Amino acid sequence: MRATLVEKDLGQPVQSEAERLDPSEFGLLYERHRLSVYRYLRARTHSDADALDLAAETFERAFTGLGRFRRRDGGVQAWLLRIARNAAIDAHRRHRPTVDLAGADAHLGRVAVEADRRDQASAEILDLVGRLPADQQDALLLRYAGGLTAKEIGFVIGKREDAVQKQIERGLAALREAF
Amino acid sequence: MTTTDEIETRLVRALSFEPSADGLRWLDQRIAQVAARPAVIARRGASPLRRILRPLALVAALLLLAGAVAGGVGLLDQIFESSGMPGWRIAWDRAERLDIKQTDAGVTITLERAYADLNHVLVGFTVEDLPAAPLSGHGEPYPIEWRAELRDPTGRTAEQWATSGTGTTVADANLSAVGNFWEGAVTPVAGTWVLTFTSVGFNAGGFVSGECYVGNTDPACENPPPHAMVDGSWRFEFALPAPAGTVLSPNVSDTQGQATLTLTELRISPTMITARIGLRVAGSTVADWGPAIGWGPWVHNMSIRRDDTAYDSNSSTHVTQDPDAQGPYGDVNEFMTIAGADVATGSWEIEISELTYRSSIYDPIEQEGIHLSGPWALTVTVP
Repeated sequence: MRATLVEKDLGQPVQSEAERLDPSEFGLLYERHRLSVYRYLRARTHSDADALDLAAETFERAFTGLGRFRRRDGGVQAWLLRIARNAAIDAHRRHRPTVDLAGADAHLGRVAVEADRRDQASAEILDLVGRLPADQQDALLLRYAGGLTAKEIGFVIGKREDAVQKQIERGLAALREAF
Repeated sequence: MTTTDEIETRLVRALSFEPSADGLRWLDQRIAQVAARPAVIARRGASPLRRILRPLALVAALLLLAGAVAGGVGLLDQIFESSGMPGWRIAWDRAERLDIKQTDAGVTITLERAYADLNHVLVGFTVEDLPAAPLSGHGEPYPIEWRAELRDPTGRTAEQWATSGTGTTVADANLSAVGNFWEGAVTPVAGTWVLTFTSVGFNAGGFVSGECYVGNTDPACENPPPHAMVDGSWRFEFALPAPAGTVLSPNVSDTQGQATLTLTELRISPTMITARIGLRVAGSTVADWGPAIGWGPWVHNMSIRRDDTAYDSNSSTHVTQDPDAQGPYGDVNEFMTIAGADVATGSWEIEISELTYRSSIYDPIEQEGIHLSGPWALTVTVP
């Protein structure tokens, strides 16, 4: 199987979305956003299976909560990633630490990547991201894995756009310095 | 010099994960099922959503062995000795010895033992004659994965009753051993269980690097790691006695300030104690809660005791995912211990000294959440 990297203009805001979501269009919503939700969750988990579990939980929660969606809360993608982030935090706190024979690090916000499945350059930069403060990690993952703008990230984590932008800039500056 | 643009490009590429083909297919099917039940959206009193379980396609913790071949049961012994879970050890030691072999597609699966009590089901099995595990970039073999369905004597699948599933594996030469646990409210009847495997192997080929965009000439993208899952049918029927344990529905409550905790169910079995507790806060919606200060790293700030014995709880499951589907006792969590008790008699006390809740699972999780101080004490005496 060959995968295709879908390049996304990270600066573009959410556009043309209805104020409320129609359940009959949930399939379309899923198809449109599943990859960004998966990628964000994959960056926060230790395996493909864990990320898929949480992605399923995210879309189940979203479907159950369609009636609660409000466009003014940041748009569909931000709403989904907020649910995904909450699900990841929930999963972390329910983790049974004594079961983890592999000794995997399950700290909140830690970029958990199996380096052997990534090329060296990617493993290196993800390792560096994993060493950043949690709020910077969070902002970078939501932007570069989830594909959100700073404004949208603000809706996800409950911070102002300028505060998010600062976190992103600090995180990038730290990475640039390390390289 | 590295520019910001280069850093951003590297980040995007590094984070361009692609799900495995099998996993994506599973996710698509799962969401299709969800979207096919529109009545769930607004219906009050709907069945509470349980935490979603990926049906036994578990990427398990892998314990690599060096040295001599230990044999199937020996390998499984190592899993349970290494687990740090006293309840698992009890389950393994008390499990029915089965030693049932099934061969298909050139692969032999041996069901070594099985166990069920009112909190746990365990199967320990070994897999022989798989093609060699593909090696990762670090020269280590990928862990075994499997896809299977477990049905209890009433015909229910594990997805219908289990709140979590966990697999641990250990591998040596040509043999892989797996201990697979399901936790949840096990049906209290003796009878025949059916375990059916449909795929087993190494799913390394399921992952394709995010670097493999169209036009990439990286050799790794031209030659991805092999997909080495073996499809087939390995079916096991085995009889187990009635699961041991006691289920109590005490519905005892304690109120501190505006917050009322109610112990709705206590399941006591040899491998685990499970306490199902609901929280209501007068004048507020509780969408999720836990016995911790704040919503950050989770600390189970609670104790479960029977007379002079303490039972450590290190895990919980959020039972009522949909606030609209909550019952009279509010938002319900199920707390699980790592050890169990053979007898239920005595005075059981669950104390929660602090708790944190949030009013919507769709809102950003604030670091501190809404914090309340107790303590709340829930006591039930079993004569």
